[in-house]
Amino acid sequence: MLRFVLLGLLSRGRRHGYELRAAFEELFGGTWSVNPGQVYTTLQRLERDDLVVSEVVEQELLPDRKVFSLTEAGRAELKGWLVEPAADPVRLKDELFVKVLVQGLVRVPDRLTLLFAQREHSLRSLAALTRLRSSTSLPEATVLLLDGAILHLEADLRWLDLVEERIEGSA
Amino acid sequence: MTAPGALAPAAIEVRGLRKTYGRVDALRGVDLDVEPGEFVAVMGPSGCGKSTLLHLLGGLDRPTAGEVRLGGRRIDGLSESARAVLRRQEVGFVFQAYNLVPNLCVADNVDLPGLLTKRSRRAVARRRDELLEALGLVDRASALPGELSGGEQQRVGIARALVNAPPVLLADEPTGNLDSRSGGEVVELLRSVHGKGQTIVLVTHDHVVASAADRVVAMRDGRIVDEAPLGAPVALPATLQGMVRPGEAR
Repeated sequence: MLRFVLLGLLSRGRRHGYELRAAFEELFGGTWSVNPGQVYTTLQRLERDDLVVSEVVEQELLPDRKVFSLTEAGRAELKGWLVEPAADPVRLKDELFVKVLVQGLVRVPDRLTLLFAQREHSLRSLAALTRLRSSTSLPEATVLLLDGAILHLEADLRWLDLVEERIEGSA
Repeated sequence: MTAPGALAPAAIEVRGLRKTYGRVDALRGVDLDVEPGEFVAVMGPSGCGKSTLLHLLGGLDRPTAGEVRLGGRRIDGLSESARAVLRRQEVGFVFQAYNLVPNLCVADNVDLPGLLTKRSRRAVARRRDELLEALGLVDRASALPGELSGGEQQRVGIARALVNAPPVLLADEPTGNLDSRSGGEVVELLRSVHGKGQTIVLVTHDHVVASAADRVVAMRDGRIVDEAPLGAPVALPATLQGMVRPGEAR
């Protein structure tokens, strides 16, 4: 997915690697951290696939640097991805789901205790996220990301309640 | 009563609390301690007894058996009239349906519990003005409840509950009628009131609302089945940590 973010950033004009990484961090408000190596490798692949082109720009006193820009193929690739709905975000293989399932499988003696411990953990994560969400002056993208994460955690907690009901019902 | 020099009594102390309505056991033996300044959320499915518990804590009803102490004083055996005094002075209630008096303006609604005590009108008005200021309602003081949004009405409800500076604030699904945005504002208010030392017991079925508390108590079928302390929050994902300013580091 990193490649599409980079294509998106380049759609606004040519940039060199360092600028791209800074713009990336800004867009995600720090919630998605990439190292320079990842950005560089991804740019190399994009260039290999003719989706971006680079040009070496000489600088006085400083080392030369590569400036990247989008090709027509890159623009088409980006557009194709943007208009395609994302795959259903079904998370059937999430560790939470799998763990709770296997807890039932191996018949741990105190399944409810484990469930309550899981709930406590999720509630604490929720507390941390809602507290962060209520702080002012967050970038708009971060607010959207936090809202999404909060809704997911809420769904997890409601699911844990359902599991508890099932366990109680079968006890 | 507490001996001099002893630790301050718990804000709320509940032992073996039972409540039966006809043949229905709403509470089947509840023990709960709430420390002064603590914010406790009670969660559970409808019918689990969480609202009954809240009503017994606030003297709205009498238990079938068991003990309730507020600030060290037993309240479970109080007469109806003594409980009426208790409700005016020792606890503040916030309800899901706001329960404001429709033909009184915001300021008068907030004043009402204050005027039912022996406090002077002036002292009540001063406290009311402070609260309206803190809750962002100053410019709504002369509006009627019907002219306010749901979120605003609930803020008035909170101001009214706090006008007598009760040691304990009890809230029963305070965000139940609100959309998530106004609900979020009400939770923020409760959080800030709690930040100033207010003891709060809140009943909710909303995990996001409950996560504002210091501790989440889970009730099932008239009993407490779990208590989750949220005091020491989990570390945020590493990438989020830099975004939390020092002082609110969580």
